[in-house]
This record gives sequence, C-alpha cells and structure tokens, in this order.
Amino acid sequence: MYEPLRCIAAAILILLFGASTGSAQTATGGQTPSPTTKVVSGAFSTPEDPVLALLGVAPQAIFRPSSPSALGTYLVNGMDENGNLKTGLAIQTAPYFLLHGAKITLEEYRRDWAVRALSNVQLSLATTKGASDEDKSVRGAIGLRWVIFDRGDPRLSTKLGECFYHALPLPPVPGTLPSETGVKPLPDEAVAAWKRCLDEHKEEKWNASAWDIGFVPSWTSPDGSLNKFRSATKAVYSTLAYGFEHLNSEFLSKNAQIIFHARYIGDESVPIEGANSQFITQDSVSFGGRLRFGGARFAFSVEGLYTISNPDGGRKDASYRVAIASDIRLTDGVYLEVGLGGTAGRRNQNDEALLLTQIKWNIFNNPELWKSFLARDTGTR
Amino acid sequence: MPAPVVKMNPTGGPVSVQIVIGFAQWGRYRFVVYDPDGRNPHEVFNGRSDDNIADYFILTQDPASVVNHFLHWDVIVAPFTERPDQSFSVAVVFTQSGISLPGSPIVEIGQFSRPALVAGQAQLALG
Repeated sequence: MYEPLRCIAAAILILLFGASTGSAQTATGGQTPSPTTKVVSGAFSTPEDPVLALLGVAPQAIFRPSSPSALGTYLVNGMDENGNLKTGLAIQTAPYFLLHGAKITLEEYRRDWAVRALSNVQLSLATTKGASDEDKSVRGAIGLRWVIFDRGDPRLSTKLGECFYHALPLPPVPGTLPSETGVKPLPDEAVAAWKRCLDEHKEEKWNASAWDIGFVPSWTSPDGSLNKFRSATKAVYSTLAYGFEHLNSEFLSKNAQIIFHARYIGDESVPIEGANSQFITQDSVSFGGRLRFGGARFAFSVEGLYTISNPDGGRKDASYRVAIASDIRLTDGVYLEVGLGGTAGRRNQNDEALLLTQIKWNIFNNPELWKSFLARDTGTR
Repeated sequence: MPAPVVKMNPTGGPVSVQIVIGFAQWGRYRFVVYDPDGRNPHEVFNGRSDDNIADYFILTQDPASVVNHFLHWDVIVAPFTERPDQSFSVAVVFTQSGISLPGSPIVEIGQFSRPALVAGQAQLALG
C-alpha cells in the first residue's frame, strides 16, 4: 500500500478516472495490428460525479471542473467490474448552497472568495445494489469535490450578465394591478435569446482555467447486510485546467487548453489478465496530461497517462498510455470522441493499441437529455 | 388571491424595501406602486442583481401616505446554465428602522432550468 503522503502528493494534479465507468456508452471501431488491440471508452475523461464513476454507474462527460448545483437526486444503473447489473440511488448536492443559498446574492458571490469557495463544494452520496436475485451485494460511496477556482464560472462573467440584461426585458407595466402573481415562463423568443447568451459564453470560455479536487471512499457488503459493510475502493483525484489567459497570445488563449490530472485509487479490484472472472486488489497512482486545441464545438487533443500499480501480493508495475483524440460536439451536451492510442510498459500484460470511441453526454446540463435518461432508466426523479 | 398585507408602524419612520435574489442567480426587477383601487401605476424602483448598486430603496418617508396602496414587483430571474435542478429565490423584505415588518418578507422559491418571471405584491397597511 502507498503511504498517506504519497496519496496526498498524488492529488496535486487532476486525474481523470479511467476506462469503462460510463453507462450506455457506444463503442465502435476496428482492429489494429500491434500485439493486442482494445476498444475502450472514456480513457482520460473526468467524471462529473466521481462517486458514480467509482461505483460504475456514472453518465460521464465533463472535461474540466465546473460549478455544482444545489441539489440533485436521481436513480442510476450500470455495470460493476464483474459485468453485473447494478441499480441505485444517488444524491448530489452543494451543501452551502442548499442550506444558505437563498441568502447568497450574485453580488456577494462575485465579491467574496469564501462564498464562492463554499458554494462550490459538492457532496455526493450513492448506493448501488445487484439487480438480480443472485447478486445481493450493496455498494455505497461518499464523494467530496471542491472546485477551487473556475475562470469560466458563468456567475463571474459581467459580459454574460450584460447579455442577459439585453435578452430579457421586463414586460410593460400594466395599467391596473395584476390579479395573478407567482412564477410564469417567459416567451420563447426571450428564452432563445438567453440561450444564445449561454452559447456565446461557452464558446468564449471553453478553455478557461479551473481546478478541482475530490475524495471518494466507498464501502461494500457482499450480501447487503449492514454488519458486513467493509471499506472498498477509494480515490483521491484532482484536475487543473489552464487556458493560457495570462500569456500574451491570442491564439493560445482562444484555441488551446492544457489539463493536468493526478489520481490515487486504493483497494481497487481489477481483473487478472488471462484469468476468467478472477480479480486482484491493487493500489495505483496516476499522473497525466491533455493538451487540447480547438473550440467548444471541436477539439483535438494529445493525451498521456503514467500509472504505477501496486497489487496485493505482487510486484509494483508501471505503465503509460498515450493517445490522440478529437471531441466533436454533436448537439448541446452530446459529444463524439474518437481517438487512437496505446498502452505499454506493463510487466505482466501485453502492450495494447487502443481505439477510443464513445458518445459522451453532459446529461446534467441538458434538460432534454436528462428527461430522456430518466424516462428510459428510472421513470422518476 | 388577495395580496398579503404588510403592516407598517405609523410612527416607525421611513419604510424601506430590499429585494434579495438568492442562489447567486441573475435577476432584474421593477417595483410599481398602485393606488388603493389598483390603478394609477407609478414605478418607484428598478435594478438588477449583477451591478454594484444596492437592491434597496426607501418606499416612503411617511407610512400614512401609502396606506392601502399596493406594491407590485416583477422580477426576471435567469439561471447560468440549463441544468434542470437549479434553485432560485426572490425575497422582498419590508423594514422600518432596520426591523422587518409584520407580513414581511414575502418569498418565492423554486427550481428552474430557464428564465422565468416572478411576480409578487403586497398591500400596505398600518399596524
């Protein structure tokens, strides 16, 4: 096992969770000749909710840290490392926003760093259980994620506020006292104008600098009983994105972003190469980076990840993974990622060529996708 | 539904009104006074949540001059993303000498994913 200091050191930079944590992903592609070829998905993506990623039930999508919301509750499903179907409940909340949010004004949020810092602490809770009679196991995880800063935070953009002001005029003053009060929707044209403001902001800030850090412990019970819950996989991760805002280069500040990531995963159960349904527990530390060029709609990236694994009862092993990939925005919140790369350096496993393909969706930022996701998988929220 | 009544102290001094748009959401607003018959609108204050101007104004120096009048407000609130689970709140607080008046604050709170108009009103009375 790694010492705590090494774990802390590992958290200095961001780490994106590894492959095969997403749900309902699409993987396609052919074979390439190198020793072995593997089609993977989400090799270097950062999950929006690391708790769900750790439990293997995360719809993943996010490339960079972003601000959390006050409260979200949703049902989830996915596969565990054995391929068993899991269902569960997840809660995602920003506790300070939840408890104190009604008193936080935009002016205060912009002026007071402490208010921003507290507002951007996100707490996630999730449990999953086997979906079949044979699988009674239950897993639970708690995640703490803190967006330390985010230069793309829309609340901090005076330009976006000005755009809202022009897009959203007040209705005329009625000549007599209105008989109805309460909340009313705005006309479609006002909503469309508001959405254009958001799109312009995304286009401008797609590569803004940001930094987040997270910690996720999990527990598991093989038969679902409370007295048999044991500590299971835990993870510490951090992601730092830099958008070159400080350099005197318009090209870089508009078209490039570099993302550093680091993670520690402890007591992770991983399949043994060549052994059917056999697993080994290991700790691992990974460091990586991703250089992206493009914009909000299309980006080309070069990525690398270096991992040191320490299996129980085995020898330390190190490997690296490199890839080139492109993200294409298909529609709002939906991306196609295509890439090519390879993994090498592992002592006990063959080198692999990787074809990276997946559809990624930012379900939490897209109401229509959210609705369809719920309708398909859960039916309620 | 009749407008909620805010009771002013006839000797309590100027009546102030503050609007708090919570959850750090963007908002713009307008306050209009109507006479006791609900006619003759008169805009008394407007503003937005993202400037450095206080979201606060003095409604009247003399509470007796606005007895039975109505104060109506329209607030447009807009979220900064399209996430479906965002919260908003609009609170209108009436005070005299820093003390919240009976019937105040009047609060509208909810969740939204797109801009909305929040309308509210209060009838002013002497308590």
